[in-house]
Amino acid sequence: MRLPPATVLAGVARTLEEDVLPAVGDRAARGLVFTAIEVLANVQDLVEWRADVRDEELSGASAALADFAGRLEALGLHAESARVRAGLLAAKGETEREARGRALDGALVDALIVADGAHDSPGMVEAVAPLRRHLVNQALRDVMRTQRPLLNRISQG
Amino acid sequence: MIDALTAYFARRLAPRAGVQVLGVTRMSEGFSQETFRVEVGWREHDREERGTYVVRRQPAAGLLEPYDTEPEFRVLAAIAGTAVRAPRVFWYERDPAVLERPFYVMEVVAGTVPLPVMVDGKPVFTDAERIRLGEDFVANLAALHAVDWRAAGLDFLGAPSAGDGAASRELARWEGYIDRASGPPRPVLTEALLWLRRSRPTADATTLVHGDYRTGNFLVHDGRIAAILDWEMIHLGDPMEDLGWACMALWRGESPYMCHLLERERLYARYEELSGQRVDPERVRFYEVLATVKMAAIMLTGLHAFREGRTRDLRMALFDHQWGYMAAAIANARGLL
Repeated sequence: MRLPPATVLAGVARTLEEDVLPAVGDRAARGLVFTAIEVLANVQDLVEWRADVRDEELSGASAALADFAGRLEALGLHAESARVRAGLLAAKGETEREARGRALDGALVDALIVADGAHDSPGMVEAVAPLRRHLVNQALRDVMRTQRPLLNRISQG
Repeated sequence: MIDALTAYFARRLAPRAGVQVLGVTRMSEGFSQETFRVEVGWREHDREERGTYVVRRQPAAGLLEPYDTEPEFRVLAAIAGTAVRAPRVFWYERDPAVLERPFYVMEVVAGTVPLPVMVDGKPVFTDAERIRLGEDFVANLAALHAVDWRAAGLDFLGAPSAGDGAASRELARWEGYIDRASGPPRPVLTEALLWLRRSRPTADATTLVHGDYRTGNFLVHDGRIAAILDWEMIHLGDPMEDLGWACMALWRGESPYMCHLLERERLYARYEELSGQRVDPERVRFYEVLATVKMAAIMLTGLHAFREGRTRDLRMALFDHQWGYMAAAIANARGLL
C-alpha cells in the first residue's frame, strides 16, 4: 500500500458525492450517503497505515540489503558492496517512516541494478538470493493482508 | 447524449427519415473504453424500423491512457471478411462535438462473455465447452496472425525493426507507461525489467498482435466463439507475444488450463498445426514475464490517474491495495517463488 490513507478516503468521498449521490433518489439513502461523506471528511486526516506493518517491511528490506552487501564484499566486489551499503545507510538516516520506506525501496532498486551490472560475475546468483527472497516475502506479506483481488475482475472488460 | 446521437445517426442513416435514438444503455463496467448499446428507430417505406448498434467511445483517462481508438477501428475494418471472428464496424467519428470524444459504431454480436474467474472452486467451463472453445481460441489466433497486414493496408501500425525490434519496442512501450505513472520505487518490477532487458528475443515473423487475447475478451454464442473483442492494444509484433499473454497465470488462477481452455502443450501444438509456425517456448516465456510487467504498468497508470484526480473510478485506487497480487504474479513469472 503506497497511497496515503487521506488520499484514498478523499477519493472515496469525492466519488460518493459526485457519482453516487446524484443517482440515489431515496431520501433516507441520500441521508446515509451524506453522513458517510461527512464521516470520511472528518477522519481522513486522522488515520495512517499501521506502523507495525510498515516496520516489518522496512526491517526485511534492511536485512536483505545488508546481507547482499556482505556477499558482494565476500566476492571481492568492493565498490558494488560500498554502493549498496551507502544506499542502506542513507535510507536508515531518514527519520520519518514513510520516507525511510521509500528510500529503502529505492536502495533495493539500486541494489538490483548493481546485481544486474555484475550478473556474469561468479557467485552472483547466490549473492543476489537475499534480495530475491525479500521480494518474494514482501509480495506474500502484501497478498496475505489483502482482500480478494480486484485484479481478476479486470477480465470483465 | 440522446440528442447528440440522434443527430449523428440521422446523418449516418440518411436518407432514412425520422431517425430517432430510442435508448442508450451502458453495456459493461469495463476498465477501459466506454461501450454503449444504442437503440435506433426510423421510418422506411411507411414502416417503423429499428436497429441496434454498439458505440465505443474513447475514454478521457484510464488504464491505457493516452487513448486512440482509430487504429483498432481501422484494423477491425480491414480484417472483415478474413477468418478472424470480430465485430463488423461501420463508422468512425473524430468530431468532439458529437460525444465530446472520438468514438466508433459497430454491430451488436449475440453472445455472452465468459469470465476467467472460478467460483467456489468450480471450473469456468465444462470439459466439452473447454475443448470446443479452446479449439476456436487457437484457430482465431492463428487466423489473426495469418492476416497479410501489408496487403490489408495496416502498415500504419508501424512494423518493428528486425531482430529483437519487436521485443524491444514492447518493452519500451510498457516501461514508458511505468515511467509516466511515476510513483514510489517497486523493486520486484525493477527485477523483472532488468531481466527482460537482458533477455530480448529475436522474432522470426512480424504479424498482427491482438495484445489482450484471453478468456474474458471473446463472446460465446451457441457454444462457439462468436467474436473476439477488445482490440485496443492491437499492434504489429512477434506472434509469440499473444501466446505469452494468454499463458499468463493471472488468466487461469488455479486452473491447469491456459485461459481455462487448453493445456500449455496442447495450445502450442494446435497453434503450430493451424498456423504452420513453430512455437518458441523461450520467446513465449519472455512475453509471459512481459505480460505481468504490462499488467503492472496498466495498474500503475490507473493508480496515477486516480492520484492526480483525473478519474473518480475507485477501482483505480484499489489497485494500490492489490499490488501484492501483482508483485506475486511478477515474482512467479520470473521463477522467484
